[in-house]
Amino acid sequence: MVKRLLAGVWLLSAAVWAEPPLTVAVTASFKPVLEALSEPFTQASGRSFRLVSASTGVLSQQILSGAPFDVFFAADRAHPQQLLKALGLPDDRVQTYALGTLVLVTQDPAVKSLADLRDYTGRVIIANPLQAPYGAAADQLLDQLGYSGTRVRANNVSQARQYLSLNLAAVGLTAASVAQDLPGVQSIDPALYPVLEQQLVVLRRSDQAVALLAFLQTAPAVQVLRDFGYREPAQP
Amino acid sequence: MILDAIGLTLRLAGTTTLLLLIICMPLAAWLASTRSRAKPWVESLVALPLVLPPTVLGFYLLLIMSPNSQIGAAWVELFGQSLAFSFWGLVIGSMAYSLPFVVQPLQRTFEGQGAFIAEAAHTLGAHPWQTFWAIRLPLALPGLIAASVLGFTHTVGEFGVVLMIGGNIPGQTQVLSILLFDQVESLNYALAHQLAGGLVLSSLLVLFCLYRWNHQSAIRIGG
Amino acid sequence: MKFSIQGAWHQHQLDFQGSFAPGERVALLGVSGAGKTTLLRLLAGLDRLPQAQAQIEIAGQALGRAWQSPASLMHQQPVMFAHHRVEQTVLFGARFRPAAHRLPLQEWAQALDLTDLWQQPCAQLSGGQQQRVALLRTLMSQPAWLLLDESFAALDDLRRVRACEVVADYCRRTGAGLVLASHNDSPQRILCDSAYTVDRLSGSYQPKLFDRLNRVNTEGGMTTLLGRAERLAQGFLAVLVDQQPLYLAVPERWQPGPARISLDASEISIALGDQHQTSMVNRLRVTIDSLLPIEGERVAVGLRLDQQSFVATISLWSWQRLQLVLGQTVFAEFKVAAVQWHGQAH
Repeated sequence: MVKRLLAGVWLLSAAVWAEPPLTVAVTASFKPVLEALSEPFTQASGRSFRLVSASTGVLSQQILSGAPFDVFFAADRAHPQQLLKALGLPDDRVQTYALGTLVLVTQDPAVKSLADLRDYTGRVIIANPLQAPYGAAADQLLDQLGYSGTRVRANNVSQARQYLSLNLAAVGLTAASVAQDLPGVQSIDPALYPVLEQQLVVLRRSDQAVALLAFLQTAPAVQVLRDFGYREPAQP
Repeated sequence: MILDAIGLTLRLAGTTTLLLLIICMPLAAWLASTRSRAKPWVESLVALPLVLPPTVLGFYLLLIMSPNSQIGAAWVELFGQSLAFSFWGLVIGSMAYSLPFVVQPLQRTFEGQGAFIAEAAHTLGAHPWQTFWAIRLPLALPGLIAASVLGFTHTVGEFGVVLMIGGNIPGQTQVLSILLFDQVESLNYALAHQLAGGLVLSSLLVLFCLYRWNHQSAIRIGG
Repeated sequence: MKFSIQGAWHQHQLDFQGSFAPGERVALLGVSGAGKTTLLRLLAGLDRLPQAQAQIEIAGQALGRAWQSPASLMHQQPVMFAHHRVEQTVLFGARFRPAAHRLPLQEWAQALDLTDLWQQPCAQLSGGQQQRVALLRTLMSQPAWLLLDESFAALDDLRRVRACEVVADYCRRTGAGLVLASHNDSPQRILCDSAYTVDRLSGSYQPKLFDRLNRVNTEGGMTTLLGRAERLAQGFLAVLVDQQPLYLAVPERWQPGPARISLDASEISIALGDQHQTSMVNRLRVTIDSLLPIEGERVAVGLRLDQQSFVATISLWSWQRLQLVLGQTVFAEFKVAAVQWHGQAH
């Protein structure tokens, strides 16, 4: 009897482990969060996922060309909506999973707060507005503040962070999630920039995908989200 | 925006090629005639950018340009901001990237001159420098032109290094290849087509002219 | 020029030792591949051995790099600079060493038949033209030692004599010395006095060139005699060799004074007594010195004048028919055409 039970458990876990991990495409800015959630997810559900990361624009491009991702965590609304149309997917495949926050990173004594940017002549690093919603938001914010200096456009928020960590410029605006351990981080009032609604697309439906989405709603997961500088999506 | 990018690309390629020629001519002449033990080392270093992914080059350049390094810090001292994201930063990156494309054809040209050319001048009393200016350089003119064209077109096509160290600043570091990338990623295929098509056609034209001129020169000398 | 070279060179052992007086004219002798070019290149400073193995001193100074040395090498294959014209390249030669002497460039250019080619691009010259241009260019650089590696190989007989005379003129004006390798030994017979023989990368010196060149050997060959050009007689030039007159076709240029002529062994026949045969204008009284059988049923006979000897090759049958013996006094007869003029380079 015990033997049969053991064999059954063994077979079940084998079946579970035999499941290929989810392939999750994630925008550079959200990658740290999913990385942090990887262990807890596996522990909670016995399932796993592997991450492919790039900017939202690049990943969208790849998906349109047939890349085999299961779920795509984008950094905006626009790209998931585009993909929905392009791939002819039903509306319920898209949902908002987080609200992004922008932070100011400054090591220049001339810039102590956002307002100082109006007269600042040095370079400011942002992500590429054409490809990264964080970049677009930062660009708009700088316009509003009246900044007229040189905007260095990194390819994505991660590269923006890399530039800042190497001190290639003293000031930058990038996603809170990637700026975690940089010195000189200041939070910015969310009202000052357009809402950075981050949506995901379930490209291939599966039990695992459902499990992942459910896991993201749990309290521990939400806490991790907040720790990384995101806000939970507004309750519908 | 497009015109800016074209102008910038041409300026970058022109500056890079000119500076490379100045450095590479003596280097190639030395490589062609030396029997020193250092030769394979130097040749390997020169050939590195051919085999390394541009991301490696870009990575090391970023580290060097950062004020965290001595060189980067010195530059910031002098100029107030880092070498990265500037035209001259791109020039340095492009010079490293296109180095083998200028050195190698030049080296082959000088090697093709044979050892006796320099020997004949030396035995008449001409010092190596005098030999270089009066004999080897004028004889190397066709090779010089080929090396320039190759270096120039290669720099025009540069992408990976610029992507890492450029900062994509319109008018300053947004070269054609980067502009094209931007358009593709934003799904602006119409503009992307124009840019890509233009690059292909112009490169083809330049290369064709070069090879045809080579061919005609060969016929002239042979005849 | 003093040199002592003993060391390994490309898996071979070198052993060259010698000392040449300033202005000496040395013929570099040896078969193909014996190492003549190797030696010339070492003396020019183009190839270098470590100091411990090679001590070379030229004009009193240790040999440094090629461009520091007062010796100039003319390569076996003439090296032309394709972007030069003839005038340009000849004057290029004059740019780097101090011009200690004024040289008659125009006169030499004429003697070498280069005046018509003066503005010709060097890349369009024939082999012989290139050689003459390279020679003139080398002379214009005023070296104290000329190292000539087959520098006359592409020239026909007439041009060869002229080129040698130009070189002789240069040496006379500047006191320069000369080391000359040539597979055709005419230039050496015209110009040189002593010899350095190279055999399998080691060398030895002989102060008298013609002792070496004129030896009786199985090839017969040519012997060079030193004489004095005297006068014109019956439409020929008379040259006195050991007090006896020799007649040859009048050369393009000659003047009374020391001259060299060479005799082709196969064109000489031996006669007894006083019978005159009118077609043989030359008739020398000689003593039979030596005898050496050679192939083809022939013998090489060494014939002695007063101080000098030369070789004649005749058939074994003739030797026996005339009943010739060593020590016998006979007459050597040969046509005017058998005498080759080898200049007045001294």
